[in-house]
Amino acid sequence: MIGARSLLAAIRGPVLLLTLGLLMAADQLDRMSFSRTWPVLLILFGLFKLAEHLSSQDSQPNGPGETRA
Amino acid sequence: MRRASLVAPLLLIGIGLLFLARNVFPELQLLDYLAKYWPLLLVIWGGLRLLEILVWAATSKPLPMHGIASGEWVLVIFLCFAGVSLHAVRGFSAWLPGSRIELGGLDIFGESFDYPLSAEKTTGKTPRVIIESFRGNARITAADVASVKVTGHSTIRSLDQAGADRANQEAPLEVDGDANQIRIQTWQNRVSGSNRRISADLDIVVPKGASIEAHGRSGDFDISGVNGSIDINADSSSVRLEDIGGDVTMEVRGSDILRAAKVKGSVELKGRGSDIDLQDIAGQVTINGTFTGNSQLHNLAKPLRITTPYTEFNAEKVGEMRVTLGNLNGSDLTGPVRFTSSRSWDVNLANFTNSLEISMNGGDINLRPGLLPLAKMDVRNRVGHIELALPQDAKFDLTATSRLGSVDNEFGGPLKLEPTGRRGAILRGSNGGASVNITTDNGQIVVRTASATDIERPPVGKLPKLPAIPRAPLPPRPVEQ
Repeated sequence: MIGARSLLAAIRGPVLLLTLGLLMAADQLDRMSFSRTWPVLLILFGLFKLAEHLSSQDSQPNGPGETRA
Repeated sequence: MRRASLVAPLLLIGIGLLFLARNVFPELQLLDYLAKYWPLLLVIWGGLRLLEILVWAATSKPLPMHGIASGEWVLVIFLCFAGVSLHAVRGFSAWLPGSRIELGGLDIFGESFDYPLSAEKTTGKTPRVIIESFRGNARITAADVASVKVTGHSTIRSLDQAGADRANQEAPLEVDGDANQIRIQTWQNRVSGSNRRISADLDIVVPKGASIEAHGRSGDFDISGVNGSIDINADSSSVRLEDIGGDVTMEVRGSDILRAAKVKGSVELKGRGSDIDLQDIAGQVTINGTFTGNSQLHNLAKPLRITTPYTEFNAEKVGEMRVTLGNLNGSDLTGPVRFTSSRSWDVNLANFTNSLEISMNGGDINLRPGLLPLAKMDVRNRVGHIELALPQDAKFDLTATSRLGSVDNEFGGPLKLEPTGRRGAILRGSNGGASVNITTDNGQIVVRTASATDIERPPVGKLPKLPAIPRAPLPPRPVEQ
């Protein structure tokens, strides 16, 4: 079984990259300037960290690596 | 064993194909597409990687520690820089005729697109014309009409035609109102975003009795022949007014020049800026703020009040006055004239009457009262020379004191040096006229007889006329790609 934590850690990079690409595209098409939207990346990163933290806490009683995905 | 991602090879193949396409079909404007759509690369990259990891997770394959390795992030950052600069370069002038560089503005790159503007609205004889959040140049003239007519064009800087078209739709010119009030709105404030910039050149014809109220981010105004009042409030604005019937109020946070000529009402200037040029003002003139350039004041019929953080100047009437950094020259002033400053100035005053009061921290003072009866004078300086040229037949009760320096008597007659201690000197004398008190803590005082040149040639000659406010060059026509 794959840990939720490691899955989160693995998809964090691609999701951030995807978001960065979307924000850049929005900036390029004059919809929203990247200088205004960049905090989205911070928020997203924070959410991921939070989710990882929570999932590792959940897994504490069973010991690491025992969590179900 | 850790599985290698398929995405990097796929991206490499994709980029390879792109460049191959460019070599095979040279007419294909690949760089243009790349400049425009490079963020999609990031999206595809991230999307494929995400898909890959989800597939791995679903098939219970071992997951990598990080979805995107640090080396890849470096590549991403590099790509972002490359993309942004490529984007900028594509908008750069040399390759695309019709775009220009505007230094000093935020947007150096991009093209200019031009859209005609035109609107008209009938109104009464004395409407209040309000121009809202305006950016650009406005020339306002008055005529015997009963309408407000606006013509001109809007200039939009954008990286492409579509962006400019959209900005133009977002910012329509609206002229609206009734017999008493007309509102001109350009809605330029709706256009935002780092890639776009909008300004307008407007020619506005208003009824003669109109009064004007304008506020904006940076608008240059050129107003003439209006009989009502003028009220301008702008972040950055150069203003030229001529033949104004009413009161003028200008409040700016930055300005190259504020100029008003032939104003029947009062003039009030507030804020920060550079040059001031006022001529033939019938009403009171109040200047409050920091104006660091050259100030020229000519023929002010009513009192002048200047207040800056360090200096205060008052006079009841001004013939000619010029103020530049640390220099104050004036002639034909009607007192009481009062000048106080906590800074150093070189003061040069000629032909003043009534009374003169100067109190300042340093600098040289040169006084040629010229006119009789002699003005009452109270002059105090901390560090600096004082020279006073009195007409031959002036009546005065004079005391000149230099605490640490010397006093020279080149006038003779009733004036006599009084003995002091080791330092300083006092010159005193009276023939029964106005009281003249001159004091400097550290400096030389000279009292002399005014010569013919002192009277004939005031220190301020005919001032050179300042050039008109340069009008922004017409932007080039839009270019079809």
